[in-house]
Amino acid sequence: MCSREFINEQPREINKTLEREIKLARNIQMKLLNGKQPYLENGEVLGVSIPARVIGGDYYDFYVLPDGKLRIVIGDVMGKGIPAAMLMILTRGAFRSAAESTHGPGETLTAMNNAMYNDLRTLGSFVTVFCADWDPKNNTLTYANAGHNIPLTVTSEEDIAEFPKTKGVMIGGLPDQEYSEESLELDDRGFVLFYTDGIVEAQNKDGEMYRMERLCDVLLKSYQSNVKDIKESIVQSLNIFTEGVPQRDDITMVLLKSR
Amino acid sequence: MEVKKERSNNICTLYVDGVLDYSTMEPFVEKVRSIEEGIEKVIVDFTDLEFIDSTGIGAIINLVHEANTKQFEVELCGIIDEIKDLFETIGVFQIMEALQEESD
Repeated sequence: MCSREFINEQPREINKTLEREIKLARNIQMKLLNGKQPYLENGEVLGVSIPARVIGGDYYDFYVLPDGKLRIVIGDVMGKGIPAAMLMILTRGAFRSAAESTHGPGETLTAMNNAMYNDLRTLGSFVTVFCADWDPKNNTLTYANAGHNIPLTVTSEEDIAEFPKTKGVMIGGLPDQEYSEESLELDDRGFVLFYTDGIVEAQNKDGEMYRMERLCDVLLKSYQSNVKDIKESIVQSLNIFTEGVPQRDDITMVLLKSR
Repeated sequence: MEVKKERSNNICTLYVDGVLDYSTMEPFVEKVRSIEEGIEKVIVDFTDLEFIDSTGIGAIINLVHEANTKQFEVELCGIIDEIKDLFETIGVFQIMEALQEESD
């Protein structure tokens, strides 16, 4: 139907149609991605995603489990723009469906890989995903990783560290994967940052990257702040560093702080 | 970004020079497509690689899967530690090992 419409349209009208459809696609993605943030009695959580183009391939999501735990997921689809955005929606569907039927983050990643492997292999693509369950009762995160950046935990104004590593192949890399789980007791006053590589790989006009050191500096200075202010500080620091150079990659972060 | 291809007997070496990312990966994909029948091993030399993004890594993974289907071996060399860590995190080496074991 679309192609018949296009045959009858002039190039300028085709551009207008495409522009309108991309704008609608962006609205869909933004509404699904930056939806309602869950309210937590014993903590605060915030996610944000800033696509490099009109739409992007980064993903984060929350799912409140029946036992009161919060399942957090962050992912990065290979590539950029519309193709990555289409796979991002596929990833969201796989997570939402897996979150309901699986007991832990490792099982969730296995279910996502089982659901997506054939499609991703056919398309020659992959998604890196980090999944964690936060238990507010003991302030502990249980997590599993499918090829994603390891999150950071800030425990004082001087101490920041990556989570203890847990290995796992990206979603779409190999069939029938099992993902091992690790647990981390969070600091009562600290916070954690889940992120995608668009932050540390943001470039300034000289082609220099933002890198981990700058991110760590901002996070340490933000130790006392709430998640909204921490997010603002990271975005502001990135803007100062890049001086308006167009963003090359999608930027996504999830901040979790107990109280 | 430049990819130089050299063939010696049944070994093909791809020298990757520059940035292998979303905007530059086409020459790499072209060179992979042009790998002749009968090649037993493909070496990808990253000595002059400046940066690789997820699309570039995807191209490497696709090469590894293609090698498994067409029964040739892939070796990655000249990788600096930072990129080695990235490959380790994402699972590139795990895929290579798993597919290697499968074909053995």
